[in-house]
Amino acid sequence: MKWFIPFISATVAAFIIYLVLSVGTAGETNSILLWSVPELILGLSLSIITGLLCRKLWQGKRYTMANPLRWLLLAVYIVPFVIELIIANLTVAWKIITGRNIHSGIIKLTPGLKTDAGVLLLSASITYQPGTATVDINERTHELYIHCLDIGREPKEAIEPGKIFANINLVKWIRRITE
Amino acid sequence: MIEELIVIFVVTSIVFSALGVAGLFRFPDFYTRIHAAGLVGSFGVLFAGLAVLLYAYLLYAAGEPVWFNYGAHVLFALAIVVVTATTSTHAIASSAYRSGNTPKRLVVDALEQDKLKMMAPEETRK
Amino acid sequence: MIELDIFMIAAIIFVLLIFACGVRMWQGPTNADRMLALDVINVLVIIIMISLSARFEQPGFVDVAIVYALLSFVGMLYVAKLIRGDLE
Repeated sequence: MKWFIPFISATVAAFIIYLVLSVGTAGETNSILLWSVPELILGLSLSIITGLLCRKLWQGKRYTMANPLRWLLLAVYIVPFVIELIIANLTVAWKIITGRNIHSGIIKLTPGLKTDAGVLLLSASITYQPGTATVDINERTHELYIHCLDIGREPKEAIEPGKIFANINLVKWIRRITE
Repeated sequence: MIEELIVIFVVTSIVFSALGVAGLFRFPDFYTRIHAAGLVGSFGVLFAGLAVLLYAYLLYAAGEPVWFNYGAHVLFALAIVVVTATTSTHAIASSAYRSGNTPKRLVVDALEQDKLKMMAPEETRK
Repeated sequence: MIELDIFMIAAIIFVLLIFACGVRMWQGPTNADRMLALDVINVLVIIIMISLSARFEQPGFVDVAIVYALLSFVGMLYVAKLIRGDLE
């Protein structure tokens, strides 16, 4: 039974991707909602084959993200993330135009997140924002080393988790999602 | 209305992509150029995708149902670009640091002191 | 249906941006700069494919863009491992 959970999760992920890629194929007859029945049968069989092939590629230890409510929160998380993204894009674009105020440095962030999924989401969010990029991660203590485009003139080595984003404390959001 | 919105989105995408490529030449060292490349990967891609989505909506409203599927494909491509641009940016930065390409004009480097601690062999996973 | 040639203009400008990135690949001081320019070129190619699929109204071009994104991602990871020195 050890292979059952990775089999189910890989099958569900592959089937969701197939559903997204074949949306709108419903015809006049023989269709469920937006999908036609032959597409659904083909997608389900291909997903089961994918799940059987991927049943041993599993390193997870926790099952906190199995709750669908967390995935709903993850969809809501897009809104503050996009607000931060707009601010960061405009800031970096202004720095490119003027060419001033560039005091770059690598600083340390100790987010205090417990799960691996939380650290993954936080480092991906930091890297996708222009102006900050995760250079390295200590996997044991969950410390992130972040290259910032502008950290101010006075040298400081560590930063609090609330200060890394411009306005919204996304670390608190991530903690709410993944813990 | 929607046509003007398409033009505005495409022009925004062009402007931010051009600023990102200009930043590749204006910024002094490698680690700052990463942020300029992030400009192309975020706003350049997202606004071009939004414009194409709006155009697909125009075609779909004109009565061709195949463009609904097309919009789903564009959304999937955008999601893939968001995920892979993030991961490859981190891979580039990490491998550049590990290969000894330390940044030049740096105010502070917190990773320098902790590097020996990081390089210690980790416990092997099963 | 509507005469929107804005996508063609966008594609031409993005091709010019690719040539600018090629200059950075040519004169990049370190290997990491060349790798970064290659990453930017990959993203620009994906934008061009999506724009041209809207310009020529061909839905199949976006599938090519998806496959190109996945394959270029694998290629970037391989080049990153090569520069890092994991592959002897």
